[in-house]
Amino acid sequence: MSNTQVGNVYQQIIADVVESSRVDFEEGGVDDNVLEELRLGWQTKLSGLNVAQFPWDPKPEPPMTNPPTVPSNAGNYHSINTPPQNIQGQSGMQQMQPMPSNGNPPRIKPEPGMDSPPMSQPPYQHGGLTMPQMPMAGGTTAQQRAAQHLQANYGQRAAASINAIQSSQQPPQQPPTQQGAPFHPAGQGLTPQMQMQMHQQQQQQQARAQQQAAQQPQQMSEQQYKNFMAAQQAQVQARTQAARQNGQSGQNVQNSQNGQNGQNGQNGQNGFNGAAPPQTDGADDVEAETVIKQLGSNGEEITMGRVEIDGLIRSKIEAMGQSMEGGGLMLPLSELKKKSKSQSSQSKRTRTRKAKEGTVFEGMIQVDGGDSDDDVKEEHDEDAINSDLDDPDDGLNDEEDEDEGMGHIMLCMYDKVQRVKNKWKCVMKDGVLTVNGKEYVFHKAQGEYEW
Amino acid sequence: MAANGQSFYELYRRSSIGMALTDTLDDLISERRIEPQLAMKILANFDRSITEVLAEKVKARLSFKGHLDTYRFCDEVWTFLIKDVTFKMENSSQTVQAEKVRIVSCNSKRPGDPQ
Repeated sequence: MSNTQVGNVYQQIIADVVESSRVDFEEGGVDDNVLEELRLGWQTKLSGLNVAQFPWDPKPEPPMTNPPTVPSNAGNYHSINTPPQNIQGQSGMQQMQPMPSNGNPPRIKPEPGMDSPPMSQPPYQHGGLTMPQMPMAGGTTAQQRAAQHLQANYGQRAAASINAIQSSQQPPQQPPTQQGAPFHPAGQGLTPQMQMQMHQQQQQQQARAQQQAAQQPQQMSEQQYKNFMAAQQAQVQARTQAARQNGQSGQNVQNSQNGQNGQNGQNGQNGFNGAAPPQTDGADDVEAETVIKQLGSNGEEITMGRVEIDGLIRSKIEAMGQSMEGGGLMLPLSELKKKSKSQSSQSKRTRTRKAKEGTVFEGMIQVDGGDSDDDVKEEHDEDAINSDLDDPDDGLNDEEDEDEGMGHIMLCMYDKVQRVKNKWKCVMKDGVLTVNGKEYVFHKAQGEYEW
Repeated sequence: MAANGQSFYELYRRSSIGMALTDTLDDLISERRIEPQLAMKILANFDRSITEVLAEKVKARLSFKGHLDTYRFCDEVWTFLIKDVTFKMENSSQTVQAEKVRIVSCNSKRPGDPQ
């Protein structure tokens, strides 16, 4: 027989069960609606199993394998899931601009062969070095990528071009980090020396910027100028703090600081002591959001803003991770290679962070996961007693496997089971056979098999 | 499982239709729409109904051949694991092949017998 009969037989069973259960429902004081719901749910689930074509399925006969539930569900997945993803992605990018310190920088798809997209470094890694607001962070994506590309292909030779690209989109007041990052992709490398260099570089750049700025005031109105100088002063303060906190020796910083102050002269002081005009550029966020105070190693009190605290926690966590993984022993091979190849490829921080998050960037193939799984399995097998009873080829174990899900199974009653030597003959009746995802019913079945 | 003084096998609850019913009842119970006792009654009705319908409505026959891998007879229940099995439907030339099939078979004499 074919399984076309199954639908009718099952419908009859369902109707019979529903009818005979009606009395039980009434006795139990349960509403008839629930009984109807039971019938519908039963039919729906049966259709979902896809073992036969059922009369209650609205679909026409031929495509037996397509009860309506499956396609409609699939359609829903598409219509529901895909658009919100897009929206989320967009909003994520938009959120990025006002909230640079949330630790989730937008992930730009890295260019092939590029390891250091500046945007993939969390903004607060620049931490106290810069004002937390990254001007046009999301908006200049294309520009940054272009700069990266140049940097990758031509290295320092492209510096001028990169400069041009970036300065074309940036107000002159914001040079330090935006330019510093592409020049020194390894600036986040943890060696103190490099940090020093980074700082000095930034200080120089800043000094230059302030010189520029100092030439501008003539064209500005008094009030504008005050605003401007106050903002700059705040930036300087923020940097000084950050430098101190990072354990920089005060000398260089202080010197350049003094120089700047001297340059700015009276005007700077005036602006700072002035009537605290409204802050428009948000440059002194760090200062404004002083959250906690920390005692420095030299007993000096260090004021910490939100960004510094974030940075501190981050570095602590990373140190813990570092000690856990034995200083990179467990890093994927591909990353190790990169590391040895050049420090400039990517900051160690960023890498460990990515590894922790399980984020796989292009070129970073996740290899340690699978390996460790295999190891675990092997260990497990070694621990086993390895007696014959554990042999997975045992037929009994195979049967256990069949228990799960809908295997190939025949449920029936036997009339007769005979055996002569290794030849078996059975007569079965009233059975349900599930095989190859289809179901069959039979009144009688004869089986012959040898052992 | 006593219903009307007769008992029926519960083995068909493992079929697709039985599983679908069990799942549905589970859902209703977990939503507190019905009591577990009521579900037991419904399942008993199902045991009786499917046995009767299979016996009365189904006329089809089939034969099958294969290699017996494992057999077991316990509590009047035969369990066979047959490998490389071929099913032949009687009224059509259709054959179905499977790598292995498990047969769970209860004694046909017992249900309804007054013992």
